[in-house]
Amino acid sequence: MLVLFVLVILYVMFRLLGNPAILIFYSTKHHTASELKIIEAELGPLAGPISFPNFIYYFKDMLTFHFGDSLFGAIDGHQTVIGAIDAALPYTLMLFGIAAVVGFIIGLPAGIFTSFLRGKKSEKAVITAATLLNSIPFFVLAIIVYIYVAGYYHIFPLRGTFPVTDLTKPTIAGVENAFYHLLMPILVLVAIEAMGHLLTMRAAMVSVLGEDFITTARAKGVPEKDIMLHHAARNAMVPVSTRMALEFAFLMSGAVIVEVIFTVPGMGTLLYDSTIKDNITVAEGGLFIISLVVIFAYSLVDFIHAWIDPRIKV
Amino acid sequence: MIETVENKSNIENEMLNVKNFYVNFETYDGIVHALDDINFTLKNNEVLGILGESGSGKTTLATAIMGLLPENAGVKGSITLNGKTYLRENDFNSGKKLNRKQLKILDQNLRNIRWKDISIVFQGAMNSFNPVYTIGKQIREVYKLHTDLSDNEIEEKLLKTIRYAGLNKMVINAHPHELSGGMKQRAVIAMALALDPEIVIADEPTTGLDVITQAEIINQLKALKKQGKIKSMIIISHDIGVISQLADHIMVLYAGKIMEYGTSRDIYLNSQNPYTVELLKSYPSIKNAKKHVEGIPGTLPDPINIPEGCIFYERCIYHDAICKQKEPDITYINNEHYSRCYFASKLTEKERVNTDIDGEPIIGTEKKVETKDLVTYFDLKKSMAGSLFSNKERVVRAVDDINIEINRGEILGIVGESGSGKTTLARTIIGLIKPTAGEIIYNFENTNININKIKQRSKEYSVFRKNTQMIFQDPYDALNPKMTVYDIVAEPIIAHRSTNNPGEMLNMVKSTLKEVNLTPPENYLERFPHELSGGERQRVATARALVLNSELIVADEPTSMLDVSLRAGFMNLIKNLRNKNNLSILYISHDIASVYYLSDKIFVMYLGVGVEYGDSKDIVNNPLHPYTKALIKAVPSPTPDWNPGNIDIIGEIGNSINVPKGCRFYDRCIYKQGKCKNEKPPVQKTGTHWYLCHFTQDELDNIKQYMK
Amino acid sequence: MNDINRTRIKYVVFPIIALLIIIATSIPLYLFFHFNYRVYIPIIVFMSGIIIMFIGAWWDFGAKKFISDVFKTHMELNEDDLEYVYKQQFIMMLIYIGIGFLYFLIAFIIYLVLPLL
Ligand SMILES: Nc1ncnc2c1ncn2[C@@H]1O[C@H](COP(=O)(O)OP(=O)(O)O)[C@@H](O)[C@H]1O
Ligand code: SF4
Ligand code: SF4
Ligand SMILES: [Mg+2]
Repeated sequence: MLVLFVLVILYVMFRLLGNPAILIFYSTKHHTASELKIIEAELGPLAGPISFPNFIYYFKDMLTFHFGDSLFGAIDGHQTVIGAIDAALPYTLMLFGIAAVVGFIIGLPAGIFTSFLRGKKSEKAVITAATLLNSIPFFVLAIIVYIYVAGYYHIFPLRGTFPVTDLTKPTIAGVENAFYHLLMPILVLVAIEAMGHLLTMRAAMVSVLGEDFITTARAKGVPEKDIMLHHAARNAMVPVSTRMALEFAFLMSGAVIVEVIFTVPGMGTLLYDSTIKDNITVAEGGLFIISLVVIFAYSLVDFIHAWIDPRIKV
Repeated sequence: MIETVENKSNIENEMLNVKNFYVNFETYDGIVHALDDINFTLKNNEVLGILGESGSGKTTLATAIMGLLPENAGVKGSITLNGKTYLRENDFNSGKKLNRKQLKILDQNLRNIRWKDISIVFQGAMNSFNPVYTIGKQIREVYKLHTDLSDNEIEEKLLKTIRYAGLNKMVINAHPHELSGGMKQRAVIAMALALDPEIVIADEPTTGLDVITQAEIINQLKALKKQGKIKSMIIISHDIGVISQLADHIMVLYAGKIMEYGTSRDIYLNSQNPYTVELLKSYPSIKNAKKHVEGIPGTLPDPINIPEGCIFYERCIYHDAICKQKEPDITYINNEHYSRCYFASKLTEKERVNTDIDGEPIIGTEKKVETKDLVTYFDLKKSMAGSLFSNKERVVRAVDDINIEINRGEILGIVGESGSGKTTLARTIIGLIKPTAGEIIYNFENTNININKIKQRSKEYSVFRKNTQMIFQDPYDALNPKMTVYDIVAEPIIAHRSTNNPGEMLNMVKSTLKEVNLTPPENYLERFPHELSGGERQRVATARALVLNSELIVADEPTSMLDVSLRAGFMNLIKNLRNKNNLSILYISHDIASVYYLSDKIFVMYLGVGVEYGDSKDIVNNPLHPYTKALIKAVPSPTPDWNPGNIDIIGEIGNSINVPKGCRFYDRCIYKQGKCKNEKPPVQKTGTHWYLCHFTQDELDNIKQYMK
Repeated sequence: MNDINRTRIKYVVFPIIALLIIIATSIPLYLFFHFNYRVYIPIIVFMSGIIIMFIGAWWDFGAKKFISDVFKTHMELNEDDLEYVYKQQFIMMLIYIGIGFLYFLIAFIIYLVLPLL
């Protein structure tokens, strides 16, 4: 359902500009009828005047991933939009997936651990650091890291480009190479993402720890460690998993920006280039695919949620 | 029986010893003195009751014994269990931080004691279970932590404890939110008994439960004590009735200090402390006929700046000049009974003079309000979502065919468990809910008003509105926090355009405030609700209801949120107002003792129908309907030698949806016979006293005889 | 007609009225201004159809409130009742999706029939 909804929004967004074919037609040098035909063919789902059949074609094309051709020549040897996306998507999925999982794995335990430090000075330090990091925009952190680690000390490569086959057909050397190139962008994403999880988890832990059943557990002689891990953490995860859905969209936007800065040839770079060049077919296809990824991640959350809290049934 | 327990406990050695014990909390406002010089011994097999108003430090003491004080707590003194001191000075003192190793040792010590030696049932059992795990898992956890039984053995023990607490094994696999309040409370008790601890601490184990459930829990605890499942116990409550049922010794706490300590008998019958005496006097009891009860005006002293001298000085009617100067020491009356008062053992009965009830009620013969076959249903199927999602009848028969009348100057009390429809009836009478069927006829300002026949905006309607006012249950919710007391009380005047003259309005407000004993009224006019105590708020709410000189006041559980020491005062206020102004009052409560104290007539409700009605004396001394009998039996009476035995009722209150076709009470009645199921019972009447049942009293007695 | 169907119809009334409003309000525009009815209206109707489907999938049709009401009035709610609620919710969702298709159909009809008039 969400997918169709995204399609409607994309349509309205791109069509508010008017008929793209006509716009492009006037920007070309030779205004001939045959030229218009060619342009329309390239535009794929965006082609044609605004009309009902055209709208239906749009739907059909989008849902079958026929995004048309790239308007301004081949991108890395891919003439069709879907080809370009095919080449770029693995990078982004890698970044997004690893950052989401690692951010979670680091953030939650760190949040639980911070709640251990109740009332200590170190708690304040951790919270201040986390809040600071969490409120830095992705691009600022990315640029700082890029300048220092890649530009200044040359620890990591200046360009994040590496063959996509390192990801799609992994060999040991290939994975090493991919890791070498992707480590910095992933670290940037994970740093910010994990801090977000840390803060939510800590806040949730603190409120759960004030509940009566925690006092009862203490009275039962449950060791403090088990109280934190078994009694408090699972209850505290309810708000965290609710927030996760939003977090995915946020992280995806971060992945896109970070890719541009580290010149990883993923969806972010693809989108960025196409937007700058008014390459609207690529922009549209790219946005659609990214939305699909986020929607998919989003629907996973519901399952996790139901497992955590038995009260959630409806 | 009490005597024998005493003798036995004298011989046996002491179980728990609390010595020179102090607890302070560091807060932003200053240091809160929560407990001050607490000394007591709990002997083997003894039950100690701790009595006190809320805020007197009862729960702090319980958590301290468990070693569960929060981190901002500082401790002096020691607690010893079985000769081993496990908590001593500095262990918690926030001044000196313990190093890691000491902390670990302390933690280890406490962890071994917790639950195995001392277990606790916390106040508010509703929240004692972790919502994401099943009950079974949480009880099993106790065994896993403290024993090395095999899984099978654990299952066996688990089943046994669950049975002890009077539950069936279904609850093992239930999540907490699937159980009713009473069942959860039993499950908590089961968990507390799982390891056969030496001491069980029960902190307000029945607060928030209905009378009948409360009586059942008390019975269960008594039975467990008798069987030896519970060895020693500390029971904490603000309710003397509950404590009297279980305790051998009673400790009265006030503002963190022990005011009096002694055997139950000594405390009840021979109290030597003004606070205890006053507290006992403030309980209305169904045994004490309609003996005058008296509250304790004022509040606990500020725990941050405890005043010089006796802590009870401000509220004490026995006080003398010396009380203000120096704090009294404890005085022993006998070797098991002491009191913290200069005049212990010299106390003479003294009555407060200023709050005597003024005048006698003049109960008129004209009816102020009368309902005829009043019916209020809530039909969930009426709403769109309701009709889509309900596959069966979902009608709540909250009020089903009720006929009541209140004469001028009369107080009618309505009792019943929660869910019996009392609030709905009140709201229907006051016009907040439209009745589904039936009539309500009012007689105000000498005009008859039929609620079905008047139109909004008509003159009759505004007369009706003006003369019906309500006092709500929760004084914290009922007052708008952004309005001053003046605005709150003046609101009805403005709404009914009684006067436009600001001077006159001010006078009306002032005199009403004076009437509800908020004196001098000038001090209250500009204050906001959050600056008032609970008792004062309820008085402001009362003033708002009175300011228009309305003829009918409906009060829905007005005292249930007030502290015990304030309830009596509030009830006396209502009595006074009635006598002075000839008001008609509908007084609603689940507490039959307070209804008895206040009302002239009592109407007993069960699942939307009235099951018995009569003079309050008749109802309490000679209850006829099986439900009323159970209700009255269930009220714990504040005398030590009183035994409710069996309360003769089955289960918990049901819902008013799938009501039995015949008698509403069928599912819970122990007298039920074949015909009760399908035939509606008739009204049995003697004079004005009637009840709704197929059988006469003789027949009911025979049925009971036969059952035995 | 039984109760449940009558209620379902009540739920259906809202999207149908919305549809009529979309169609009707633009008619004056079409008649008195230069508004290309055949170009825009089918698209708008089609999109609205998707939005109706979206609502059908996301709205609980008041189930949450109903269940909390049931709890508030101490009524029992067992697994079967919950099953029933889910089932009704599912049926309503299908109905809304059906209405979405109705929108699609209307869009096609407007597009195809209009030039014939
Ligand atoms: N607005 C309402 N809608 C549906 N049911 C209600 C409403 N108000 C009260 N009830 C139900 O009516 C029954 C009687 O409740 P109530 O009058 O509050 O009883 P009591 O005052 O004895 O607790 C209960 O089952 C209650 O949940
Ligand atoms: S010492 Fe004085 S003020 Fe304190 S309780 Fe006794 S009589 Fe009252
Ligand atoms: S009619 Fe029957 S079921 Fe009802 S109260 Fe009397 S004996 Fe009990
Ligand atoms: Mg009520």
